[in-house]
Amino acid sequence: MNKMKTCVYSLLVILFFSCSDSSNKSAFTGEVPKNNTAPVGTISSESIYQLTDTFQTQDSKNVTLASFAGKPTVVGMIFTHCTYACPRLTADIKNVENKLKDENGKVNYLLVSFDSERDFPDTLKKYARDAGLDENWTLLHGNEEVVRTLSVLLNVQFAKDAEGNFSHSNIISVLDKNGVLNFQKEGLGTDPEEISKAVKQLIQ
Amino acid sequence: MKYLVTIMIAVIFFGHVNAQKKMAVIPAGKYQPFFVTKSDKPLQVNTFKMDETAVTNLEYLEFVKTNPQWRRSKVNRLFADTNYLKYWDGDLTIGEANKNLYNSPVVYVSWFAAQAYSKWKNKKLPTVAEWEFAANAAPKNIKYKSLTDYVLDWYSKPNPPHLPNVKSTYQNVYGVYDMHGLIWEWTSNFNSFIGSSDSRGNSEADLKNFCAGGAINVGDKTDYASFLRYSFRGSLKGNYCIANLGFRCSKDLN
Repeated sequence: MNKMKTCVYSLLVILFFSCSDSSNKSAFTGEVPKNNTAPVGTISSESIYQLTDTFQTQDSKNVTLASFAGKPTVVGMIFTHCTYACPRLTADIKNVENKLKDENGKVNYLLVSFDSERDFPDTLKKYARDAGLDENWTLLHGNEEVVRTLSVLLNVQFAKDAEGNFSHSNIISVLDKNGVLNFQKEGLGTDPEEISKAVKQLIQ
Repeated sequence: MKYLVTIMIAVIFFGHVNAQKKMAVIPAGKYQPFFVTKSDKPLQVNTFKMDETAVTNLEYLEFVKTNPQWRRSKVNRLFADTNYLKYWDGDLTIGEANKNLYNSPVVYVSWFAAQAYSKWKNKKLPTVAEWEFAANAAPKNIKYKSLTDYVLDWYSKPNPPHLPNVKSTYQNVYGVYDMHGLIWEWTSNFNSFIGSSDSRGNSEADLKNFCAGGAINVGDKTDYASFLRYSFRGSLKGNYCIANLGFRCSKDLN
């Protein structure tokens, strides 16, 4: 009984921490407070484009996230060996692209792989081809550290298991043209309407 | 005589700060993650080195001195929230009132800050598996019924008004101090607790991890201490700075 009390008490403490510290932070879903007041061309202090590490694209090009500046960007994190969730997340983002057909070329679509050991550019290229992703899409490979950092910035949780596969949360993030997180939606089979609306507002 | 004393004090003081922090070797082993993922195989933990103690305020002060972007007034909000080092007197002063904290763990530091510090030291943060594996080792200089009881007893106590110095709790058989009993510690992959939804995209998964149903998915149903620690990690974000959350560094063996 004593143990139980301790447990309940400690849980309350944890709840308190998680509540008190999240008051002014973005939730896992929904609108992120708009505080992007940085002038065009500069990186605002809220921009995830401050991450200066290098990724490789499906065409083996070295890029930093800042190279996506200038257009709003829709981001998902996946791994190509994933048989269920990732193809669905990719399809969800494709649905957003379809909704935004009229804005072709004005939005970046980005998939970043959790799997630093298996998802090299060639594998990503094949994945893009198989999934029918067009030239607006970039698929990125990065080392474990940089992928972890990006996941922390995007509030994506992921764990690698002993077999090299990943458990992960499914979140679609929308960044504005300066790389500031603007909107997030968690889950699979999400309604593309809400996300495309968020993206549309960011297109200039 | 006066000079000698001054020199001795200086040597003791600077010696303490600049001395290479001692690291203990944690031997290789297997670690069964508390929350069972799709694969129920235990994770291999390779032999690694781990700081004997958490990073102290004095040690952290050296870091902010040489890395201005990590000073309290300069730090980017994306990387550390407004509580960052809030108990320090200023950017480069821990403060007279905090004198008894010089050798206590630095707290109110974010994951990004802990990562940057570790890099600066040419080290890294331990992974959850490494940390948990090292922390599961038996204490060698305290009396305790079981490690779980010891940990739960600590969890149930309110924070002390002044955080005690490092090495004030116990040393375990691997030679590291205070793995439990002093502070919570950041890990490199703290955000690997799938508490919101897992790769099956099932929103019920939230409930599974937090309510009674979750118990069928955990390694040891009686291990409340691990449950609390995993839940706590799952509630964190990278820029959070919290009262009793600090860190220690690790390093690969070669």
